[in-house]
Amino acid sequence: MRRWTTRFARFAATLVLIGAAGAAAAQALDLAEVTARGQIRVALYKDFQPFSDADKGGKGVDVEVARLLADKLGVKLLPLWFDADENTDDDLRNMVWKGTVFGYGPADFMLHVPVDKDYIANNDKVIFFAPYYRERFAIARNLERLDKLDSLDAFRSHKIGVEITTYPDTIMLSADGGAYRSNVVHYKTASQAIEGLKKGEVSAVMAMQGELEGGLSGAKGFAISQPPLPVINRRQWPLGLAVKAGHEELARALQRAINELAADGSLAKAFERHGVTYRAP
Amino acid sequence: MKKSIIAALVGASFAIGGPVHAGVTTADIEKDATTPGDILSWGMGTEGQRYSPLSKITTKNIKDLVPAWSFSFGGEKQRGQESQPLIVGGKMFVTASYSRLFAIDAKTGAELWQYEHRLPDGIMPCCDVVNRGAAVFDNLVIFSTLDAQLVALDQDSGKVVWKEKSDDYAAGYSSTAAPIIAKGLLLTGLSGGEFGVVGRVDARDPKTGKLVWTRPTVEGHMGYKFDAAGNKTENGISGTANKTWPGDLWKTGGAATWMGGSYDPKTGLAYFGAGNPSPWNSHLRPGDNLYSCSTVAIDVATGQIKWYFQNTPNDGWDYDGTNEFVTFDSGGKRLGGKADRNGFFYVLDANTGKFEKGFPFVKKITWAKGLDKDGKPIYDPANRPGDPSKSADGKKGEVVFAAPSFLGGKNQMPMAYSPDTGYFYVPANEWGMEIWNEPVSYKKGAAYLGAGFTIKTVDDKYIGALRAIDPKTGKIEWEITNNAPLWGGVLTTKGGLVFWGTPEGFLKAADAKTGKEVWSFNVGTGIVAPPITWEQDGEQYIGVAAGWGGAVPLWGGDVAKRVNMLNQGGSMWVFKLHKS
Repeated sequence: MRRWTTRFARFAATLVLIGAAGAAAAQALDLAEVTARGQIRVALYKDFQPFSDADKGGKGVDVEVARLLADKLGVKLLPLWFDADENTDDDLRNMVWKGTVFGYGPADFMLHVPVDKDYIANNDKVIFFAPYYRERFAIARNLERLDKLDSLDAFRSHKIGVEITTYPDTIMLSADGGAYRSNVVHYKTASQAIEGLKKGEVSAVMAMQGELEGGLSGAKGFAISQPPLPVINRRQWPLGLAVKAGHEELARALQRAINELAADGSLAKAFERHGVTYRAP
Repeated sequence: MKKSIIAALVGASFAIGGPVHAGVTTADIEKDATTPGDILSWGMGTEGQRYSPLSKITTKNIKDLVPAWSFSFGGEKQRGQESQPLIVGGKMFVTASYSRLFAIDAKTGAELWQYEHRLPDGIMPCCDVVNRGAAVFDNLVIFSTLDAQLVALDQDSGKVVWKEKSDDYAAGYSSTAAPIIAKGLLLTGLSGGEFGVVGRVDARDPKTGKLVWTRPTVEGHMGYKFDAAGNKTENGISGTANKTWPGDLWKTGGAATWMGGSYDPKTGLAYFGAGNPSPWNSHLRPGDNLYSCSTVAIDVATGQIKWYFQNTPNDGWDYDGTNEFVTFDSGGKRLGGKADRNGFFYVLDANTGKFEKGFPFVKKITWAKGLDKDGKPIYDPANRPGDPSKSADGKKGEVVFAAPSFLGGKNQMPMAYSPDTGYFYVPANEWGMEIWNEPVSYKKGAAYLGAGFTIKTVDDKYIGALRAIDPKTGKIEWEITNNAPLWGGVLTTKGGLVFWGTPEGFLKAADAKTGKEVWSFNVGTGIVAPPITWEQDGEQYIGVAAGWGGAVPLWGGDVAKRVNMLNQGGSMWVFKLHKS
């Protein structure tokens, strides 16, 4: 179905519908109002292990970071859970600067936002700041089946799992003229792909390194390494925070808070508690 | 913030004037097109001709057509009214954005009751917040909701009689189309985004909502039948598994049936259009990718695919094949017409799917050089969007221009067919798109290879054009152009008139033969819905839902200049001849 629809009309969650408190649709707040209200609303991906997971009351690296940041600001944390839209532009619109078509959001800030010079140059609706982690793609493999991984050749005969419509998906479907296409197994999420790896449905999974580390934490017989493909293994990107354009005070306060959390090691500890290697941006 | 949605059932039953209905039957629905006192189906007859045998309003007296009443849908959320109302026994049933349904006294405009569907937390439907209409059967009025449910309400009280889940909204399914009744079954399609949904058609018992059969519209998926107790048995795979898809991509193939379907009692077939294949980039899925971008004809009695016709094999432009297939008689044959997104008009044998004729209905088509003798497109490889792997070095990929744009030569707005003139009246749009691979893109915290695109106008003077097209010759007999893109549907009548609405807010009428505009009225907000007509107490009424929205206002660039001054709305307008 058409991109315009997916692009514009999905929304993460529904709070207020017609009638009710629609007129009081939320607005992202700057620092003074956040402090006055004693509460900060934080946009968190709903199903994004190990970073944020709305199940069981909400857990994950980003949830912990959000709590640490709220504590630093001396306000209560209110998570606004949402589903990833077609791309981050949509997520920023839904959760940072505008809100969804159903009046859900926006939040006061969002985590896990790329801090990329070209990307920033094309978006004047939000402030990107406070990079707190560096991400890249990796391949996790079953060591019994693939003791080493020097090239993608292994996937001419071995199955590899990917999350549907991700960069790894596109790469595995198109690399080397589509040589691996018939061995790509599609999963709805990276965590489902990792479950598939554990169950032996696939010999490997390509996803973000943080997803693989978190998902395989404590599991034996797997290795995580960089994909043997320059186009993908050269790529790394810092992740940080975003607030609505104009909310410089909140951005500065959050930046100070992130600096302190990085300096005293609590940021690294939050990642390690979820099995993820902390990679400073 | 709290989640409070009001499943408000306001009002109760009223004693109103108009014919007394003992309950809508299958027979009533099958002859809907010939009974102007009611409108019992989307399409004003499940064949979808949108032709009324009413002739009280004519080119001569239409200057006396004036508003009879207007009704506001209220609420703070508007965003596009695409609904076609139904008329049963003097009651109008019209759906509105955000999964609402209103029952209105068709003569006075007084509200009888309204239903606001309770939408759950965590909902993320793909396909905007519009709704295109309801179905009626017996004492029920049935519509689909944004959280992919079907709700059947009592026509008199507005009370919920049954509610069934079509699919899991959390997995990306939604529903915006009007259901239809065929052979006593309720037929529905499904909407879904690029989340790996699989299109299908479901048949249910309209009295209970229980499934009778289900037919996937992606090759390789099993269809099922259900007995009265709900036990499921296999009913054959759609097509041949993996024949036209590489790897496991058929499992998440797309081909959503998001505009619903039509049904022709003369063929016993239901015709559903299937959307684009997934993933979006065609280079990742070499093959025809059946039944994406096709019309699929399903034998309603068996739930089996009788034939299919693919308009855009291996689609690379997002030319959904969902547009309606409208059946008609011509030269002793039962034929069907479809004005596809891809800019070609197709005439097929409605019984067999055999290609009879195809021709452009828009003036600029660049993605294909034409159609071959079997109706297959002759591609222009230079105008196929590029392979993402070729731009994976972090540079913006090559820009390709293609016309029509992905919003199509025609989109969701239904066309009409007049057996009097023998013309189809097609609400067409002239536009193209630039499209490129976009490496500086992110998705859920990860680098991503997205596609960038922008819509371009191809004519300074207009985008929209209502066109009278002769399916026998392929000739455009007349056209009336419009500055903004057309997004509402069309109605034609025995009175020799064609009615349609514009985003600028005008409901217009033209002489069906000559294309001379003979009437217009500004309803105060853009029209993106098809007009209707019916007769009550000897008078002919014209009605249309009004409220600017849908896909068009979401786009920037050249299109925005023509629409960004338009205001949203939400109302029902009804007209009749002024009597002095």
